[in-house]
Amino acid sequence: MAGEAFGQATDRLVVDVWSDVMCPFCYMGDTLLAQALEKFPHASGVDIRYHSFLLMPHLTDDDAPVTPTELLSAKHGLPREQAQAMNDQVTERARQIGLDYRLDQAQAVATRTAHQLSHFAAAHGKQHELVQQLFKAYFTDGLNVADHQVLADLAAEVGLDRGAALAALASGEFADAVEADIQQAHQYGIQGVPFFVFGGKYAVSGAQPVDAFLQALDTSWAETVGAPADAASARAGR
Amino acid sequence: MTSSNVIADPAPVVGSPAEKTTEAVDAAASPLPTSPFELLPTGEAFGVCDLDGVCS
Repeated sequence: MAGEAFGQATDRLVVDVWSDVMCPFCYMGDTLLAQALEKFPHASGVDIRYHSFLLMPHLTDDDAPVTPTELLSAKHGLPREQAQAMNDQVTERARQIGLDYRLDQAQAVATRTAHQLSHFAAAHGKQHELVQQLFKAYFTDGLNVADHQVLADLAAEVGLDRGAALAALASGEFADAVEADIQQAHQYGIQGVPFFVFGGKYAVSGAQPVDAFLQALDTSWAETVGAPADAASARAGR
Repeated sequence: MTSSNVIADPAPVVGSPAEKTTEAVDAAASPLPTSPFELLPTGEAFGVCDLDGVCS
């Protein structure tokens, strides 16, 4: 699915999401969007596609894991206490929507490989489930999401073939797909995540309250799937 | 809600008449292109993480 965002099908609404596994507001945004979909009457007609974005592109697979606090402190030259306070605020925001962030246990690592697994899951119809597992693994369970064995376990947990996942990661089958997503984000001027695009037209930047996502779903649905047939035909002929 | 690969032929975004957003990156201040999407007005966001890795 890489690089081919965006979509506007005639009978379904596509939501394209750029995010990173280590992005705390991406996990929140995904959760809030899911909560909005629970209230959206046409949720069964909505498809979500996840695209890769790297918040820490300088990290490589050879870098040893560090805590998010250490990473933030080192990258920006912040006192550790200040970085800790920033992460505490993020943890509190997550708690408010029912997420259990344990950033003191989290292992900040390069996420390119995890993104490859996301694309592998997409190819097998399990991307959303896998993305949720990746977020939980990083933010709650303190797992190393750069480790192939850990990633293969996560794949198996969502019903994917563990061996096939390992083989895909070892071969780098989806490495180009990850890069294509990153380049596309750059082309579209996306400088922060999460970034949501509804129906290939409307964008929402950042994790938003449920009502904001509901409004975006309503608006984009009305202009795409819910539009009169003649309008849909006109769009298709553009 | 389903996973991402169920749409066989998504239309290219260039076919959408999206307006340029005034809330996106200022093209004059950045080499990055302006977003082709229409940024929906929202209330107080939970937050966003930028390219510097700063989340606010």
